Amino acid sequence: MQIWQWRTVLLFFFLLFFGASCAKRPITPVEVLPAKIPTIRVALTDQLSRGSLQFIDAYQLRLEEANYLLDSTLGNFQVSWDNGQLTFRSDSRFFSFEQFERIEFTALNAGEFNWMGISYQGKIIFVKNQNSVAVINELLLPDYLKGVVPHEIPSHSEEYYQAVISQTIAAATYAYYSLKNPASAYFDLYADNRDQIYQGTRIKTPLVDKAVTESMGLFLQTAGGKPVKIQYHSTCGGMLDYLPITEQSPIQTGNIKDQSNERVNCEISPQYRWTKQMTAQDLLDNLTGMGLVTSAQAEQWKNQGYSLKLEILSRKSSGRVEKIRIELAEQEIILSEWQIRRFLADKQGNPQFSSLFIIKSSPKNPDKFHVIGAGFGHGRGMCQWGAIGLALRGKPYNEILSFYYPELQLTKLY
Amino acid sequence: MNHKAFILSSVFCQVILVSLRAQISGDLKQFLWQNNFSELIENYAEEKITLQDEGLWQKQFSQRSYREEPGLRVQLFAGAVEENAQTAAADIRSLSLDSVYVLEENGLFKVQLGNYQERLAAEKMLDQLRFREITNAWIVQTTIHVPKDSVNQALPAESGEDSSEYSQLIYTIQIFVTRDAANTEQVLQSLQNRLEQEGWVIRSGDFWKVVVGNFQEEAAAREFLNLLRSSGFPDAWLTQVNPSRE
Repeated sequence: MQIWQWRTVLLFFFLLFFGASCAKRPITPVEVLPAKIPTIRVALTDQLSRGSLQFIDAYQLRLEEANYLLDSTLGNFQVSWDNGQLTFRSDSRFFSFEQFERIEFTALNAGEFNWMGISYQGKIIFVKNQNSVAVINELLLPDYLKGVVPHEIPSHSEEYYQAVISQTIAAATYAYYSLKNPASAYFDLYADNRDQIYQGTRIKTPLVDKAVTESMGLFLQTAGGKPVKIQYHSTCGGMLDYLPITEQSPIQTGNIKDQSNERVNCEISPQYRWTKQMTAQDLLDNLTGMGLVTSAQAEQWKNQGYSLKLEILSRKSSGRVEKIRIELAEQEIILSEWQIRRFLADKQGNPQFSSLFIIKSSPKNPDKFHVIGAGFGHGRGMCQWGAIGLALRGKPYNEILSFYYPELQLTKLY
Repeated sequence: MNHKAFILSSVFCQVILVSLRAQISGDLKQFLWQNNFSELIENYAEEKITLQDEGLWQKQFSQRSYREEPGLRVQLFAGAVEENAQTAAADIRSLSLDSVYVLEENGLFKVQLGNYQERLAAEKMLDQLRFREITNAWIVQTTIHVPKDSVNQALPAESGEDSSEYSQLIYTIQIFVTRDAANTEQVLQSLQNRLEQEGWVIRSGDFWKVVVGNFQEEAAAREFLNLLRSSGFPDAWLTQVNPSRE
C-alpha cells in the first residue's frame, strides 16, 4: 500500500472518530438529589441504659472474629450499657463490647426486629457517642413514613385519602429537611416529639401504605429548591397562626381563616371547640411542676389560702394567647407560648390543647374558672383536620397542600 | 348589639356561667360551633381574673361536722407525761362511755370525756364513772364540740332555710338545770337576792332550766356571764334560746 493510501485510511478513521465524538448527546437532567430512594437514620433513643431486642427475621452481625447470624430462635436479648460496657444477653447468646464505635445488625433480606416491644424494619445500630450510646434505626425513607403518618392523621377511612397523601408529603418534606440538616453526626432525627413521632411497623395502615407508594419522591420545596422544615398541626379551630419567615421555614400561611365555601374546614375535628373547668390549685400544681414555685411554698399556700391573679397580656393576630401574667402572693410570673399550655395542663399533666382560648371566672366558686378553647396544636402550617375537611369536599392533595403552603411547590425528586 | 347577638350573648352567659361542664353539649356546643372564635374573644373574653383559694385548713374547718362553743367536760387526768395521759385515755375508751379527748395545754396533758351543754348531763357521766369506781374525775368548763345541726348552729344566710327562726335567737345565761320544776324556785330567789336579776324558767324535754339575761350581742352576754360566775354562779354558761318558742 502506498503512503498516500495509508494516509487516506488514517484520515478516514480520524474523521470517523471525530464525527462520533461530535454527535449530539441526549440532555442529562441536573440531578441535584439522589436518584435512588434515600435511607434515614432515626434515633430510637440517644441515651441507652437498658433495653430489650428481638430479631423477628434473620439479621447478621459482622465482627472481626466471626459473622453471626441472629434470628427469632435466639429469643429476647437484654441490652444494657453499664460502666462503658455494652452487653447483649439472651438465653443462648451473649455479646459484650467495650472498645467499639458502632455495632450494626443488618437484615439479610427485608427484615424486622423488635426494640422495646415495638417492631421496626431495617437496621438497628448502636453508636457510642462519648459516654452514651444511641440506638438508631436505619431504613428507607418510605418505610419510615409508614411508621409516622398513621400517628399523625386518621387513616381508617378511604374518604380521607387525599388528606392522608397530603400528610405523607408533609412528613416526607420534614424528613427530607432532616436528611439535609441532621440532628447529630450519628442520626438524622428523633423518633419522638422532638421531631415526628415514629412507631415502626406497629401502626401501619393500608391507606398510608398506599399513600406512601403514590407520593413516592414527592416533596415540598421553596421556589428556589430549598428543603423546608415544614410545620403542621392537628386542628386550627378555624384560624391558622402566623409563622414568621425564616431561613429554615420560608412559609407564611398565617392569619388566614381556614375556610372553604363559608365553612370551616376543621369543624369535624373533636377538638374544634372545647371547654374545661380548672381550679386555682390546679394552676398552683402546674406551676410547681414547671419549677416556678417550690413545693414547700405551694404546700404552705394550699394550707393557708392564697389569691392568684391571671391576666392575658397579649394575643397574636390569630387570637392565640401570646403572653400571660400570673400574680401569686408577692410573686409575678410571665409565661409565653408553650409554657402557657403547660401552665393550663390537665390533672394528668397533658398540656392544654392550644393557646387559642378565653377564660371566664366562676362567680359562685372564687377558686374555679372556665376555659373555652379552639383547636389542637400551634396552628402553623397544614391543619390536619382541615385537610380532612377539604378531602371530604373532594379536593385533591395538590390543592390541599397549596392551600396550606401557598409559597411552596410540589417537586418530584426521585 | 343587634337582636341576634343579644340572644346569643344571653345563651352564652347563662350556659357558661351556670352550667359549664367538661363535656360540651346542647346549646353551648351549638353556640361555640356557630361562632368564629375571634368574635368569641372580642365579645366574651375576660382577660383578667382573680382566683381565691381559702386554703385547706379553712376548708377542713368549714367541713367539720361540729362547731366549738363553751360547755362542760369530765376530766379524768392531768399530768406532764403524755404517755400516762394516753394510757388513761385508752383505759377510758375501753369503757365506751363517750368521746375521749387528749389535750395538751401549757405543757399539761389532759384527758377529758364528753361534750356537755348542760351540767346535769356532765354530772350524770360523773355518776357513771363513780359507779365504775373512777372517783378522781371532775367537771371542767372548756370548749366543747357540738354537732353543727343542733339548735345554735348556722347563720341564716348560710343555711338558707328558716331564717326567721334564727333571727329571733337571743343570747342568755343558763345557771341551773333540774328534772324537778320545784327546785327552780330556790335558784330564782337566789338570783334575785344576789344580783337583783329576774330569771325565768324554760322547759327542755324532761328538764327545767333557769336562765337569766336577754342579749342580742354575744359580747354583752359574755360580760354578764363573767359577772354571774364571780357572783356565786360559777357553773353558769352561755347559750342561745328562742324566746318565742320557750
